[in-house]
Amino acid sequence: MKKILQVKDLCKTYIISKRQHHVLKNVNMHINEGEFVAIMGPSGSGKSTLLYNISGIDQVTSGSVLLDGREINKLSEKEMSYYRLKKMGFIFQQMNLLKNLEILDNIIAPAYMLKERPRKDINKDALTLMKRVGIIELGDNDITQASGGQLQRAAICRALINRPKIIFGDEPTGSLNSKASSEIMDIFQEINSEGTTIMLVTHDVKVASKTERVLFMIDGKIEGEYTLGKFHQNVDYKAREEKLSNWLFRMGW
Amino acid sequence: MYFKILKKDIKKKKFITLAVFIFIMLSAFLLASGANMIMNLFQALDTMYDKACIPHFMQYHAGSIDQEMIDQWSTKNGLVEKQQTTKQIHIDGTNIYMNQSKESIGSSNMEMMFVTQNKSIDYLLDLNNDRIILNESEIGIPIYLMQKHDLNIGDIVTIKSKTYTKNYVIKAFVRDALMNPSFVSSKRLVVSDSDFKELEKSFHETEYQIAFLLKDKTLISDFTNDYSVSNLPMKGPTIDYQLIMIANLITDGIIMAVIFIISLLLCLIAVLCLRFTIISTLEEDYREIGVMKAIGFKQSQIKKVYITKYIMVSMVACIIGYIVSLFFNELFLNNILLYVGHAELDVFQSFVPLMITAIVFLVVILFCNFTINRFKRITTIEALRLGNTGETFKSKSFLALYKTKRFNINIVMGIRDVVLKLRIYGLLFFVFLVCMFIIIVPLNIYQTIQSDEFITYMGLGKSDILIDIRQTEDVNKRYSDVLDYIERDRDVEKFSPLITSRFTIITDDGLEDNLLIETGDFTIFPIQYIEGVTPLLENEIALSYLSAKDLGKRVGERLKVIVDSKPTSLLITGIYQDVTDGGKTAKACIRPNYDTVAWYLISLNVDSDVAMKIREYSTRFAPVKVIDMKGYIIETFGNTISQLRLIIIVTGFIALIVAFMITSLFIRMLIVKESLQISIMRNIGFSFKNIRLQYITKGLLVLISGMIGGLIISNTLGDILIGLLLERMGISHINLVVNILQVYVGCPIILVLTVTAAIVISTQSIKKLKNTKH
Repeated sequence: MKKILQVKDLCKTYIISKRQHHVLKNVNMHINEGEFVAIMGPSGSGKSTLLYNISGIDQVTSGSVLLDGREINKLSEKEMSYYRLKKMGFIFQQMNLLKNLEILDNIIAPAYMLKERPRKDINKDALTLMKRVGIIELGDNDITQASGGQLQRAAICRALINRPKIIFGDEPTGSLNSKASSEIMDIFQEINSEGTTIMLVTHDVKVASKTERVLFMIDGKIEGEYTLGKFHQNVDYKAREEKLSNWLFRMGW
Repeated sequence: MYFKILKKDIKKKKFITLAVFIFIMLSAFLLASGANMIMNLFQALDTMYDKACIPHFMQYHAGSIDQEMIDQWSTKNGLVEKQQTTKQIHIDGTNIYMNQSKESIGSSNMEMMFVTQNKSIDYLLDLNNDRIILNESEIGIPIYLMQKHDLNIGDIVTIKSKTYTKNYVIKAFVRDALMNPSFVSSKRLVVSDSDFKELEKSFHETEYQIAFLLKDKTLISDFTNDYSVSNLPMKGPTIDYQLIMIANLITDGIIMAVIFIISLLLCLIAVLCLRFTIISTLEEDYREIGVMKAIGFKQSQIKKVYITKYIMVSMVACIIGYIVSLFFNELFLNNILLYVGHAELDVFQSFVPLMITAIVFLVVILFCNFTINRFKRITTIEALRLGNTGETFKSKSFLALYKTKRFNINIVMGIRDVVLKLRIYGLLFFVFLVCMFIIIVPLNIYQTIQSDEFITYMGLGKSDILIDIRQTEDVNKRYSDVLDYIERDRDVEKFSPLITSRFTIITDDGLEDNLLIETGDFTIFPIQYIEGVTPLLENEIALSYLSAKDLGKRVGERLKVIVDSKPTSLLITGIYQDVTDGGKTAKACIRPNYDTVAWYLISLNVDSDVAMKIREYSTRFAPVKVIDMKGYIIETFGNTISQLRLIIIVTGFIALIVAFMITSLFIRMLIVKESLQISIMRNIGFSFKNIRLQYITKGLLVLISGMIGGLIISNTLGDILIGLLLERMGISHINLVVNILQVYVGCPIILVLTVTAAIVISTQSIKKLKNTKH
C-alpha cells in the first residue's frame, strides 16, 4: 500500500526562558493512502505538536516529513501554500472560520484561491457538500449565526472543497456535545470510505474507536500502535471501544 | 500596580506609543512656537510702529507742491495731528553698484528712493530700532537689499552717473516700517542732508511724500475722503495705515497661519490615533474588563488602569514639545527679528506658549477620558457572549465571494473588510483626507501666484514688457517720445498705450469723489474679468472689484463721471481684479483727463529678445521704468513665492510622513488584531503575498476615498481659505489655477507609493506571526 505520509526521526525543541524543551523526540511513523488514523496520548505528550509539524504549520527542528512524495519542510512559501490548498485539509477544535466571510464564502475561499476549476463548478460543489453535511440552509449566514456543530460541519466542507489527499484534524469534536460529535464522526467515516486519508488528534476513546489505527504518544514519543481495522456499519462498535480502552489502559493512559 | 501595567503596556505597544508621543509632541511644539511667533510679531510691530512714529495717511506726488497750501489745509482740518512733506529722489538701479561690483543693481524692478532722515514722523530705524543718523558719505541700506546682496556694515555703495560718482559707506541697515516687505516695490535708502542736496543736482526725478499723523487713527477713511476732494497734490498713489499693517503682517503671517493649521491638524491626528489605540486596547481587553467588573472592580478603578498610560505619555510629550520649542524659537523668529525687530514680552505674553502647551495636554486627556468611558457599556455577559473583541459583523451578501465571476478574491476580501468595518477605517480615511488637503491647498496657491495669468489679477494685461512713465515735469513729452519710438520699432509685435488719470465722479448720494480711470484700448492685452466684459464703447466703463464694492455698483448699472467737464453716465460692463495702487481703479474708453494724469503705461510684445529690448528702452529713455513682466511677478511676489515653495515642501513632507506613519501604525495594529484570521488563512493555503494583497487593497481603497474626499474639501473649504488669505493680500476674488497633472496625477501617485510602501513594510510582520494551533 502506498504511504502518503512518512515521518523519519522527527524532533521538535522549543526554547522557553533560555531552556530547551524537547517536545518531540525522534518520532518515526507513516500513514497509508486511504487510512483513518487517530493519535492519542495524555496532555502534554506532544500529539498536537506532531500534527502541526507533519502538516507544515510548524517548522521541525530536525528529521524529515514526506507528504505525497515531497519533503514538506523544504517547500517554498508558494509551494507550501499550494500544498495546503491542494493536498491537505484542516479541521480545528475552534473551527477557525474567517469571521468576516459568510459560511458559503468560507467554504469556497480555498477553491477560489486554487483557481483550478470554474467558480460556477466550485459553488455547485460547495452546495453539494453543504447538503451532504446538513447545513445547506446556512450558506448566507454569518458565522455568528450558527451553532458549534454547524460551524464544524462548515469547516469540514472547507477542508473538502479542493478534494485533498489528506485531512488533518486537531480535536475536531473537542468542543461539541456527544450527539454532534457522533454526527461529525459519521461524516468523517463517509469521507474516508471514499478514499480520503484522515489523521485526527483526539482525547476521546469513542472518537478514536471509529478510526482504523491508533498511535499512542507519551512524552514526545510514539509508544505504541493499535490496529482496529476498517470501521463499517456491521462492526460491533461497543466491542471496538472496549478493546481500545483496554489497550490504552495497558499503555498507561 | 498602575506603573507596572503601564510599563508592560508601553513595552507591548512600542510603535503606537511612540507614534502617539511624536504627534502630541509635534503639536505641542508647533503650537507653542506659533504662539510665541504671534506674541513676538505683534509686540515687535507695536514697538516698531511706536519708534518709527508711522503716519496714518500718505499721498505720493510727482510734480511741484505748495507747502503753504498743505499747511493751511492741515490746520483747518481738525483730524491732523502732525504733517510732514518730504522729498525723495528716484535713482535708477543702473546707477547703483554694491560693494564695488561691476554689475549695477539695475536688473531689479524695485524703485530706489533716496531720502534723508525724517524730522517729525516716519522715522527710519536701524537694526536696534534707533533712528539712523548719518554723516556725509554714509548711507543706510534697506534690509531687503542687505539680504539680497549679502551686505555688511562698512561695505561700499557707489552711485554713478555721467555727472556724478561717489562712494558711500554703509553705516546702517534701514528697518523701514513703510517699505520693509518685499512686495512693496519701492525701497528707501537714507543719506545725509548734504549728500541729498548733492544728489538732487544730478538726479532730477523726484517725488514728494505728503504724510499725515492723525489724532485718531479710526478716522482714516474720513480723512481720506477729505483729502480726495481737496485741491491738494495727488499725482501718485496713496497709502494708509491699514495697508502698512497688512503688508507687514503678510510675510510672517502666512508662515504663522501654516504652522497653526499644521499643528492643529497634527493635534487632531494625535487625538484620533489615541482614540484608535484606546478603542482597540479596550476591544483586546474586552473579556478582562467584563471579568474585572464581575469580581467587583469600581468603574473609576478600571478607568485608572487605562488612563494612566495616556496621562504619562501626553505629559512627557507636551513637556518635551515645549522645551524643543524654546530651542527653535530663535529660528522661527529670525525673519521677524530682522525685519520688525526685537520685542519685549511682558510676563503674561511669555506664559502664553506654556499655557497653550498645557491646553494641548488637557484636550488630549479630556479626549482620552471621553473615549475610555466606552468601557462603561461593557457588561460581563456581553464580554462572554461576544468573545474576545466584542466585534460583530453584519453580513454583506452583495460582496459575497460566490457572486464574483473573475475578480481576484484577495481584492474582494480587502474591499469587503473595509466595507464591513467602516468605523475602524475612519481614522485612516480622515488622515488621508487631511494629507491630500495640506498638499493641494498650498500647491494651488503656489500655482496660481506663479501662473502667467496672475498678472491679470493686478489689472494688467499679459505682455512681455511694461513701460511705466510716472508724473514728472516733462512727462508728456517723454510719453510721446517713447510712443513714437515704439511705433517705428520693427521688433514690436503689438503695443497698447494706457493713460491713467484722475476723474471726478458723482456718487449715488450726489457727492463728488475721485477715481483713477485708465483709458485706452483694452482689447490688445486683455485682462481677466470676474464678471462682465471689457468696455469697448465710449459710454462704457469697467470697475475694479474694490471700486465696485466701494461705490456699491454692479455690472449693468451706471456710473456718473465728469468727462470733458460734462457729467456723463457710463454703463458698467465688467468688474476686474486689481491689487495695484490700493485696488480702487477703473477702465474706460473715454478721452483721458490730461491735466490730472497719474501715470502712463505702455504694454508691448516683441519678436526679439526681451532682455535686449528692455536694455535698449531703459538706456534710451532713462529714467523711464521698463519692466520685464515675468521678472516683475517674481520680484513682487518673490518672497511669497519662495515662502510658498518652502511651505509646499514642508507640508508635503509632513503629509507624506504622517501618511506613512499612520498607515504603518494602523496596518500593524490591524495585523495584531487580525492575527488569528491571518493564521487561519495561512493554514488553509493563502500565501503571504495573497494576504499582503488584501492589506494593500484595504489601504489603497481607503486612500483613494480619502484622496477624493481631500480633493472635494480642497476645492470647497480650501478655496474659501485661500480666498481669505489672498483677500489679506488685496486680492479679493481669484480663480485658482489648478495644475491638473500635479493635483490629479502627481500627488495621488506619490501618496499611493508612500502608502503602498508603508503597507508592504508593515505587512512583513505577518511572517513573524505564529500559526494558530487551536
